[in-house]
Amino acid sequence: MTRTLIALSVVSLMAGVLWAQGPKDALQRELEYEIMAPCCYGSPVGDHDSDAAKQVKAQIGQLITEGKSREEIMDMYVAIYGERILASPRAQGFNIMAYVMPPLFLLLGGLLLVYAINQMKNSVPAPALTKRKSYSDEVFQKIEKEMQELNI
Amino acid sequence: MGSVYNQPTRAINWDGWSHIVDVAQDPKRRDAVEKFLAQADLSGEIPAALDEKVLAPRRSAGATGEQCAYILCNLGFAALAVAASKGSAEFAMGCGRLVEQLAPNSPDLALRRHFLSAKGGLAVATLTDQPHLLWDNLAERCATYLRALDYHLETLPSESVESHATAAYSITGQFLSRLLKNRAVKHYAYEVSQLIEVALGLASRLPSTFVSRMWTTLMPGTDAGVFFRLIGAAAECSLQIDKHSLDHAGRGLTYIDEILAQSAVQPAPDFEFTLPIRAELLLLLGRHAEASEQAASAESSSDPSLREYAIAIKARCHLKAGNPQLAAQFLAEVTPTTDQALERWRATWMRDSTDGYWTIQPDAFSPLEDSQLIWRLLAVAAAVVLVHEIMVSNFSLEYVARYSSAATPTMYKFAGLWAGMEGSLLFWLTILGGYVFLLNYLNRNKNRSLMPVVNIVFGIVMLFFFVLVVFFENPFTPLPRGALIQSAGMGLNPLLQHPVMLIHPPMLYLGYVGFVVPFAFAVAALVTRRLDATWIRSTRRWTLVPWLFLAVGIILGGRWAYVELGWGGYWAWDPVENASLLPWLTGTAYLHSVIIQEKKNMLRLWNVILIMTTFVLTIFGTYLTRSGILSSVHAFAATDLGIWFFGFVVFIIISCVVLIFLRREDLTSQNRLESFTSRESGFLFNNMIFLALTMAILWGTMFPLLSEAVRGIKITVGSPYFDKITTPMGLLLLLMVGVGPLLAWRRTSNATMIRNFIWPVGMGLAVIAVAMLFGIMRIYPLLTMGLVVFVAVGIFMEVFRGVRARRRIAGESTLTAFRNMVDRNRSRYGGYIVHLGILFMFVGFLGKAFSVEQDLSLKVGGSANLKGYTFTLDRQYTEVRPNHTAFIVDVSVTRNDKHVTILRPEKRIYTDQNDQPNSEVAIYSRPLEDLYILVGGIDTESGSVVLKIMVNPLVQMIWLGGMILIIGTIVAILPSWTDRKLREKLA
Repeated sequence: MTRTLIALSVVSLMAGVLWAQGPKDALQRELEYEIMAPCCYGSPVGDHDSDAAKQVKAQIGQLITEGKSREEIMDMYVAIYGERILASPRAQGFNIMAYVMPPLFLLLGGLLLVYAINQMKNSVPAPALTKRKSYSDEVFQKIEKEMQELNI
Repeated sequence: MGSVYNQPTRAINWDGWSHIVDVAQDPKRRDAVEKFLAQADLSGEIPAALDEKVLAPRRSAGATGEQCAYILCNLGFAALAVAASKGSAEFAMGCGRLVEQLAPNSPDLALRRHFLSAKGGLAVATLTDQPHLLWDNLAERCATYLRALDYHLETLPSESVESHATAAYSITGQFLSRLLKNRAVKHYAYEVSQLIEVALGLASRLPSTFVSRMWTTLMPGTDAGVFFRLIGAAAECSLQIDKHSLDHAGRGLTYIDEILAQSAVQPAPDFEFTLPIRAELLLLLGRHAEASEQAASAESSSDPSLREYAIAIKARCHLKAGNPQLAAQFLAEVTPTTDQALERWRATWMRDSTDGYWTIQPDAFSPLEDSQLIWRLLAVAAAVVLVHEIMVSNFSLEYVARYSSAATPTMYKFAGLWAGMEGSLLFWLTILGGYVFLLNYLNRNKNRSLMPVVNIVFGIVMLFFFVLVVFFENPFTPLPRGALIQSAGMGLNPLLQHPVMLIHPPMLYLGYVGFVVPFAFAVAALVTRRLDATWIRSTRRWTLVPWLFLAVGIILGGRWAYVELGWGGYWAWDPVENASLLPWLTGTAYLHSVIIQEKKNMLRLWNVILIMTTFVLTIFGTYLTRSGILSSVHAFAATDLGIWFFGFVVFIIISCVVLIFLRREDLTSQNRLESFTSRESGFLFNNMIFLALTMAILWGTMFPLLSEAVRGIKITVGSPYFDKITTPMGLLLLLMVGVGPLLAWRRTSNATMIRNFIWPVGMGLAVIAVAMLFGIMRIYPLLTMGLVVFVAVGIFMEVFRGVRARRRIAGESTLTAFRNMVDRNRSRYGGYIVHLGILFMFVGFLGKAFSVEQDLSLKVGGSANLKGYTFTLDRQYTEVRPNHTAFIVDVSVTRNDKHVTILRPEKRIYTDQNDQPNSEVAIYSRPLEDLYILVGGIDTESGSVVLKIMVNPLVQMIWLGGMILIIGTIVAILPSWTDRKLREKLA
């Protein structure tokens, strides 16, 4: 029990000191979701409940107060922890592939599909279909006449 | 063209029929009728035009629903009389369906409807390029007609019975005749034997004078010997039915002897095809000498295929008698070389010589099925024992000590079964065993030609998991000697101690494992070359069920993340979350594309690829969860089994590719599309987006590995990336959810397009305009709002039109019309309900754009404001509980000085988990927003508590959407109430 309370106090103390207090500005919030928690790289510091994450959040707040820009702060963390610290890769060098491929999948898929549909359309025998537009009154009148003949 | 209608007067003689025949024979009038029929698509509800032009005037003159049904019947008869195209035959069937809607209870109309269905089906099969794809369906139609006649035998006037019986037997005879001509009876053995049972059963109940008159009428006609053919077909079928083959063979022999006796009285021109069948039946019954003699008599046949059949039987007689050399010698005598002889023997015996279907003897695999039963029982028994050991806290087992403790609450002890790798695998195996058992039980009399292969696939998957459980991850491993024994166990991870965790993993497993069923059927269809829509129809529910489980699992996972992980979100794009989403996406694409194969017999290859991809992704998902190759919040059970899963995934992919390659010719279907603006194209575009989205998510998930392999640098691909990539694709998909149902099958005319789209598009744009007036200027939220309204209005219009048509036509009340409409087309309207659920979920996702968050440091009595709410810290205290100590704060929430609620977030220290801290979130949910509070920590010096507070709008919509999705899927899964009642009546 005593051990538990000590643990609770230590955790709380650290958190209380480290966790940024008061309303967050937009840049702070944005950065908290762009920088991963360096303890496990499992989620951004903004979502993570660990001491390391809280420490990073506090640092970010401090760096913003010091007037550092978004890029400068991110560069700083990349320099310390490597590219892994960023929640999404920067669109440069090889990492461009990460951003180019998904729209390319969609584009290629779309083009292939348009091609396939055109192929499937061409395999249809042309006649008859052109005539089938909608129910014309003339046809209905004829049917009506047939019906009358049949005493329906 | 239309040859089956050359004897309409003989087939039926109701009033008005001859007039219609006159109409059909007058070229001008025939053209008019044909033109009219060709335009009609009666696959769904009664088209507005037909209703308006033909039925409405009569209804306004006082005609009842039943009278309208007669009019439709006559339209159907006219369609059959002129049936010169597939369109008019389909129209006749469509009329049958509509008649059922208008007058479900009239016996006379019921029979007319079944006539239209059976004869229309026969005409479609005659006029289509690939008739064999419709044969099983046609057998069912014929059998239903005969059953309906049997059911109404007592209530109908005798002349009506006679005309219907003549029509029904004529259609059945013509159908069987076609099957026999194509030597295809054995491939539809089950369906055909059912049909013949019904036909012979009815014949025995009909007056004998009438039966002999009917045979005389039918036999001298163009399809002579229908009766003989019928019985001959029954005999041939009897060879193919499993389990009771000896009974059937005996019955078959009786039938054939009856034929021979009859042919002595009245010679039938082509009864000789029964001779080799008789020989085969004798062989089956073990009467080898007689069989050999019979085969010898058939050898002199003038028909080369019969001769070949007889030779093969004779060779088999020698084989059965234990003389393989004699068999080979015999074959060598009739064929120039032994090689050729063997080839011929193989060709005749192993494969059907005409269409190349593989004929697998169902009984051949019964030992495998029996052994699987033992496997299944063993898996279940092992799981039960493990749960028992966890419950009684037997910590001498390593697994039990690691994933439970004496203090773990009983209900969470149960979750210990899937908390670790070993238990998870065993649990997987148990579920698979359950599926296999249920599937085999429900298919004991169905799909008998597919089931052996299906069971082989199950066997392979089961074997893989058994090997893992027995040799690598045995949950019954004793705690090693000298290990630091935790006398009270290590306990379950606190994050998993949540009620949702009792349901979320089993749901995901049920989903993952369930996709084995459609996959196994696809493999079986490929192996046996039965690639028509049968396997798809047989697995419709077997796909919907795992799809639903997976959806529920994913939603519950989101719910768990939201209430347990304490970051205020529900989806983090974690690799393991993605792994569960990927098969769900491809499974959804598959559920849509099979509709086209069912309706149009297109996309055979595509559907096979989709279901195989889905299955591969389920195994791949397990690989991601279990291998630990990617960092994940789901690292509860990561082990070094990755290589095994990877190997298994590679094995499945290679096997599937080889199988598809070998069957490439069977997979080509004549794909015909008429227009881009058709529902078919809509489905294809939706499929394409689903696939692109799947690929994009897979790409993002695997990119860190790729980067490490190429550059040697570890990177993270997290939620900001996925949000950026998937949001536009998701919106595109939402657009297609709305567009698809507004397009007509085949082609949508400009007028229809305008009529269908004007309201949804107008309302969508109006909502966007209103949102802009309220100051919302961000593009994605605006688009989401517009699209949600667009889709919702589209669904509402579809339902409204359907209900209105039924109200007008059948005179039903709004509620009855709605109920009947949904009941008669459950997959369609169940699908719309699911779409509605998805809409609610999108509304929930939209809320994320408007959520606000604040970190507060408060002392007791202190307060702060956020989004109009005032949060006051009332008190803080500690509670000691069985396996943890909780630090609790009471936060009262007010709005405009009015009390809203008191929230109690907790910080827990788990004593059985090495004092691991964990935050318990407090959430106050209102329909439109959630208040979400979490204790960050306590500053012991100043005595203030650090709180993270979020106001999350619309999150409830996600859970509500999930519930609607579940309801919709259940609607689609359950059988139609009306159909069930009818089947019960007919049974």
